Amino acid sequence: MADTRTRTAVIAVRRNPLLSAGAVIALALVAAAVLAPLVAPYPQDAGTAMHAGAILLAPSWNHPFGTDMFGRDIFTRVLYGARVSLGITGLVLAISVAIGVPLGIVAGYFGGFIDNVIMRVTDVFLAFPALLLALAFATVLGASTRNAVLAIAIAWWPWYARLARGQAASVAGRGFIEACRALGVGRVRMLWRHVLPNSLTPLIVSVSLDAGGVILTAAALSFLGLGAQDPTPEWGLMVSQGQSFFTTQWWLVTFPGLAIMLTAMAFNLAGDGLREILDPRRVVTR
Amino acid sequence: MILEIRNLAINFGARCVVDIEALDLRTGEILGLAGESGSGKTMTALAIMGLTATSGARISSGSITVDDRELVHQRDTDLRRIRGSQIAMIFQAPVSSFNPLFKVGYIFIRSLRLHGASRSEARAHAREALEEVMLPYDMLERRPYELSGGQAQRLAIALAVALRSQVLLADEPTSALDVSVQGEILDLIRRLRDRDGMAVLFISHDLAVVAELCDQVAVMRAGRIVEFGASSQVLHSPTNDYTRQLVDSVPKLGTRAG
Amino acid sequence: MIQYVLRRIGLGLLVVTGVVLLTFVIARVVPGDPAVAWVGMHATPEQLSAAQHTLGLDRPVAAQLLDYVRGIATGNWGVSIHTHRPVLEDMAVRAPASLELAGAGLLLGLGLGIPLGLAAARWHGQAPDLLIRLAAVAGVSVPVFWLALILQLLFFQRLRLLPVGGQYDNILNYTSPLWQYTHMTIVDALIGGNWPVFWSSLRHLVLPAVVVAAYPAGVIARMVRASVLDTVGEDHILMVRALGFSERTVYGRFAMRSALNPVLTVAALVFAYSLAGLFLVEAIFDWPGLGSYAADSIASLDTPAILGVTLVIAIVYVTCNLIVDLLQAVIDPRIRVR
Repeated sequence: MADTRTRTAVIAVRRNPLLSAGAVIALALVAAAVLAPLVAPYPQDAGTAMHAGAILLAPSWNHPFGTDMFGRDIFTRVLYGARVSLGITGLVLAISVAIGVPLGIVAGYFGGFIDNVIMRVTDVFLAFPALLLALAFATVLGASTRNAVLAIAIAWWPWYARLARGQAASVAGRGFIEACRALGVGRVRMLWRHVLPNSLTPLIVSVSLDAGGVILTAAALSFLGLGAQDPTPEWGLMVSQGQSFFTTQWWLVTFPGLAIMLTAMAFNLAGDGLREILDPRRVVTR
Repeated sequence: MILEIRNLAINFGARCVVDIEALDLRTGEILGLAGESGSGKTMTALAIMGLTATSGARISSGSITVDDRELVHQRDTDLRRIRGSQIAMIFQAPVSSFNPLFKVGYIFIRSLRLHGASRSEARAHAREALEEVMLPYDMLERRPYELSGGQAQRLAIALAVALRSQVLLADEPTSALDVSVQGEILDLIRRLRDRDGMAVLFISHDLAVVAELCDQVAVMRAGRIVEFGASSQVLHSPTNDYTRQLVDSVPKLGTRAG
Repeated sequence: MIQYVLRRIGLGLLVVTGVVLLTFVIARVVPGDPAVAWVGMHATPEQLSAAQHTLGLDRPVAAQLLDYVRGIATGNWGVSIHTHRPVLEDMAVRAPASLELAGAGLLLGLGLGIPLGLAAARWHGQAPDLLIRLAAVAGVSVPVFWLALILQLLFFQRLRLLPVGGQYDNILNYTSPLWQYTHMTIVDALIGGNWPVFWSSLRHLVLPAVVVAAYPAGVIARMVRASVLDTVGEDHILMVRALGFSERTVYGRFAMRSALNPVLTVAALVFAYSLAGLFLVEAIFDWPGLGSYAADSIASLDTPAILGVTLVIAIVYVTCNLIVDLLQAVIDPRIRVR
């Protein structure tokens, strides 16, 4: 089973240049995030730093992306920004899955009243675009990177609950679950060892496709001032900081924004490819 | 001789799926192309139409001439003129062959107009053709899913008649139909041969049907023709082992007349 | 069928009620005192307590909630602390501009997405396909606020082709006054034959509409491509090819009609998702719609206004989802059973 999957994976990658590109970029991003302290030319610029003599310099050999209003090297900050973005995304997805999936599985497996209650709650949350919901919670919680993570996770978990519930509900109806029950397998054990593993595939696909969305939401929050705060080198924040200088110092906005876009693209392409490998005939709409 | 195939080789990737040295079809003749699934029968028909690309295959060499006109490696614009009007094709699942979102008449009339008829001419041809296959004219107002298999197949044949096709490629036209309806379709094909001199390439895995309908039979196996001759001869006294196996596996064959 | 419709509408109402409760709770938790915002920083204590009384802030929370819910149902959505006018009235004035922008974005999204998706399917596996898919992924991945800024930089700053913001040149209010029918500037200009205003609003509409359309266009292009590719393998396509129709007709007329069904149902959903972007776009392009109204309300902590906008968004969203669900149930009867 695993062998054919690997073979399909290799064929898919070879046949699909976009997927390969996405995977490569995603890997490069992770590398940038991990290696930032080693690769960045001016690591001290990632935090509070002030170089009065080097303010707002145009891109040059010394500063490939130019410098910002405090004289900090933008290339360095973009590299470190990869850490921030990937970190936020990872945390958000981890929290959303941790909250949403168990709730969804319980709802789908047990059905009835529990199902209804949980589903109505998710309905209310899903009545809004994720960004606006995250915005609302971020306003309430106060602006910081940590709160941004929480805010986005709160906006995101209902989607996974929905997904997990659908999967669990269909698995619960299958024959072998009845057989397990007849054999006296305990409920928790059933959920953990049988229902969960069978619900995983669409979850994995969804998580990989979502990464792009989370990054965009986090950047938007920071752009609005409700997420990461200076001196954190978050890409959305950098765009917002550069906005007032934009007409003359275009590099302040261009490069961080490009980073956001490329990251989101990489995750979207990789997610698409994953979907093709794991579930070739499905059309996932989101 | 209206259709001649010489040294036709069709490849699917690196694999050779059809390798025919020679195959001829005369006007007014019904030639059976028999064999199991995967023997290359359908691919041969697609090659005649120039549609092998839809299955991902390529004609790598050979010649197919219709009415002394070479078809292999022609430009698509030229081939399109022949498709439908000179060579028509009918398929195994007649109802799903028509686009479910259109009325049947739309495809009918549009095809006629595509091949040069004016609106009134198209309607006149359609009327004649439907009479010939014994369907009411208002059948054109229906959607494909409102038709039975037999009706849909007769409609497909009517289209070939209306377009004045000289060659009919029939790919398992009766395999999905009830036996009683089968007979009607076979009668219809026979009538077309007698009345209009239509040349028919009848593809089927069902030897009993082939025996009943066809004048001559070519048996295909793994892309090659392993046996060829008059149908009574090939089916009652086959010279090839494979053919003999096929014949033996059909229980009723020996008891049928003719 | 009727049962299903009623059930879904009932659920929708339930959700909206839940939203009302949620927003009320959030509004209570938001820092800042609405009474202070109402009377200003330099008010006397008497004025402050008078304001608190006017706003109903001195009543128990449960009573405030009840008042609010009752008000919603009867059309009284509260009074804006900032403008001192009824919230509903304020929103009604701003809504058409948002409708105009959202509508333009949707049209553009469909107008770009469908043909591109079709082309990608037709030249499947070749250069046009790869390029279009890349563009589609880019459209889906581009940060809305960044795209807005970049386009402004390019087309206004560098090329001087298009204006930077606003809905149309305000000078035209004097030289070429507009007769309002729908309150959507570009539509009214078209109806009234007011060409100066029409061209001006068109020029102002282009950039924001492109930004709003980026995400939907990307999603629609990918969906159309997948859908057409699915369709093209079917029997009825082989038949029309065998009848001699050109590839252009095969794709454009026969394949597309079958392929569009799933796409159109999703279009409403996709459009709803892009509404979040509307908020950012209006802020950056200074577009006088609900989005900038929301931004202003948040900045000035205008609680009733914020609640009003939130409610509108929820209603629009729920309605879009409802429409999509109903459409899908019409097309595929199996869905109704769940």
